[in-house]
Amino acid sequence: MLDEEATLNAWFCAEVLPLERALTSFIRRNWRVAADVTDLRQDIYERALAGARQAIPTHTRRYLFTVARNHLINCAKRGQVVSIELVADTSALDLGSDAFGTERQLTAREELRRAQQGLDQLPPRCREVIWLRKVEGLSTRETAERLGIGLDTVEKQITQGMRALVDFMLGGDGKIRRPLYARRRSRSDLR
Amino acid sequence: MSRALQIEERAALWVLQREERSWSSTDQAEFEDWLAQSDAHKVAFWRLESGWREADRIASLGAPLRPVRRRFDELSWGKPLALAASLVLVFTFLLLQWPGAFGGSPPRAQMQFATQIGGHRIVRLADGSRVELNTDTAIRALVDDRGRAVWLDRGEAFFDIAKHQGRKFVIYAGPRMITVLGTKFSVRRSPSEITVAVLEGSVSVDSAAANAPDRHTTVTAGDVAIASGRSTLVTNSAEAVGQQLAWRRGRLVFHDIPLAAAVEQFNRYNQKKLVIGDPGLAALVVGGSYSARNVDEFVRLLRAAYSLDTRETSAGIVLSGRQIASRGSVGQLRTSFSTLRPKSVIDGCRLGPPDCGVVPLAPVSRPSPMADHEKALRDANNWDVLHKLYPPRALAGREEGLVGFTVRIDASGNPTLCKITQSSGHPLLDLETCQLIMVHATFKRAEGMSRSQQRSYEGVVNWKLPTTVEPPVTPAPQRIAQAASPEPMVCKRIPKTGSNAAFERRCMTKSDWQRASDDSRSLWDRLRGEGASCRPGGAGCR
Repeated sequence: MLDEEATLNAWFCAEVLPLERALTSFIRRNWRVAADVTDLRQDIYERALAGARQAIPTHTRRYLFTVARNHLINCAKRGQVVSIELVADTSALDLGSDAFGTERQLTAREELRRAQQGLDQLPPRCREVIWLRKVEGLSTRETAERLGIGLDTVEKQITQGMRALVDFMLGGDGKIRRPLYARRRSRSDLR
Repeated sequence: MSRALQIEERAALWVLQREERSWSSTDQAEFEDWLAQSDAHKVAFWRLESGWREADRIASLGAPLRPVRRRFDELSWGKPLALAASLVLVFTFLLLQWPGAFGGSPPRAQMQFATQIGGHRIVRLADGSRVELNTDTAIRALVDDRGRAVWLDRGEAFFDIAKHQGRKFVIYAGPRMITVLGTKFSVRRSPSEITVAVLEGSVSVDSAAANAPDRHTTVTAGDVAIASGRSTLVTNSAEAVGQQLAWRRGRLVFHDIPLAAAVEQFNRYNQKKLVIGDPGLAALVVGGSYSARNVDEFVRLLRAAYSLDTRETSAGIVLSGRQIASRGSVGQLRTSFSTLRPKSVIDGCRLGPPDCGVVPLAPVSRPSPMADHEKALRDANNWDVLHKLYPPRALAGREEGLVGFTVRIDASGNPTLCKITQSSGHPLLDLETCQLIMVHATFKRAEGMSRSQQRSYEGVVNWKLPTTVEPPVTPAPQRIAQAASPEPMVCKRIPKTGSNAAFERRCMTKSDWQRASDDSRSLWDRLRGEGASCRPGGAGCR
């Protein structure tokens, strides 16, 4: 059981996550509500994982995009907003377009550069907190003491910075998403 | 907030909390429950955790990437106003508080400051002096117009004393008192001795006992004084001062000290204690620069470099020798990088390896001249990185030797081609050295070079094995045969999918390129021959 989870974890991190940039742009192309993209991506990951539990697919890219297409079609049907383009577009899904797997193997150097860029474009305070944690290895409490700010603030800064940094490293824009106001509910209930 | 973002927020909190020292088995159980609740949780957590671990790489950037403080010209218009307003407030407050302002003489107030284990705190005294408290430290301060005194009850503190027209500042540290006018220095009090390291100016160290003979010891900048019992030993070494003060940056710097001493240092900073389980290990020589509060990293390094066994018990992390110590002799892993730059002298290089001449593995830092101890620290950092990079295969195969190389560097400081000029006699080690350089090294960006120009850089890596390691495991013969001659690395620019303007760089050896090309061709052929219809719920897609 534990073994199986470890295999799944390894597969997910090594094979699925590198495709995130492509997956995100695929969703964005085929779904008109931009605010739904994160939710859709999360659902697709979830479904892909459930499917992979029976057998790890050999062609992860094709598998993932098929899951994505089916999910988008399902959501569109449920939301009764089936657009002609969507169905037409997804059926012409170009599964082999990246057979060279360029985005799959970033070299170590590029990953380092990516991490550095991601760090650079965080807001200054957030960057400082992440820096203290990653490089100087301070705990939340120590960071709070060092900077003279509250524990909650440090925790919030780190989690926000972490999410933005991870998003950036996986090909996103790396913007901090603050829940300042309730997001617009999408027309289709995704659950 | 959307559901995905909510889950992501919770997952981020888990990632964070799992790294904390306070993580307990109840937390673990709670976390496992949460993870088991749904695949959505797992997916979100794995995604964040793997990305967060990837971001560990920024630690290898070392000192150069200090968090950029906001400069004044970046401040918006409202902020200077707020700053001015708060300054006015502070001055009003100071005027009100100043005892002399009203001619009265209020009772002298003693202030107390303390830090916990692992803590770090900076306090500002009423006279403008600054005191930086290290881990597990307690001081009392009495500073007013009648006198300036600080009692160091335990621990270690760095003092930056403001000058005040001949008014003395006295620090009482157990059996010694330290008198200064205005300087920067640190004092550490341990049960057996007092250590004073002076960064600027000079201080005078005296016995605090009333009936003691009047015997001054003057300690000046660059000196470290160790006072124990009746004697005081003074050594002059800017290096040692830098080492003594590394804690201010949250680091511990060791130069070939016994493991027992290093363990003692780490235990000062961390709740998680290290215990030496094997008496033979105490004398193991270690060096390098470490994050003082990251004991796990140190343990990981010990495990990787010296193959020590580590066990976590209620008493702490017990270190014991797996192979080396059981035989009674202990080796030392030394990796030294020395660069031979043609026609130029290695600047600021006064000590033997590993202190200087390190190839700039972490990106080259600011070109401005740096203080010596800062340079030593940075080099130690580089050495630290290198230390981790000794190719494990070469370590197992007991390969060592001098590898000379030439790197071609493009205008932005990235290596584009690495060639071996002198072989260590081990083709694989040569190859690995080049690979390390291609992947990890960054060079100074050259000024005034056009984008198409390239320059080259020559250097030498001297790989040295630890003096005693278990007899070699015979490496698989086919690997050796395969890499009979070191192949040059080839870098190509590949257009990124989805953009006409973006490129990425990939470096592989020639045979790897060939293999990749064959692989993708066969994959492409297979894909074209197959229809695409599969379901996510079904038994995998083939």
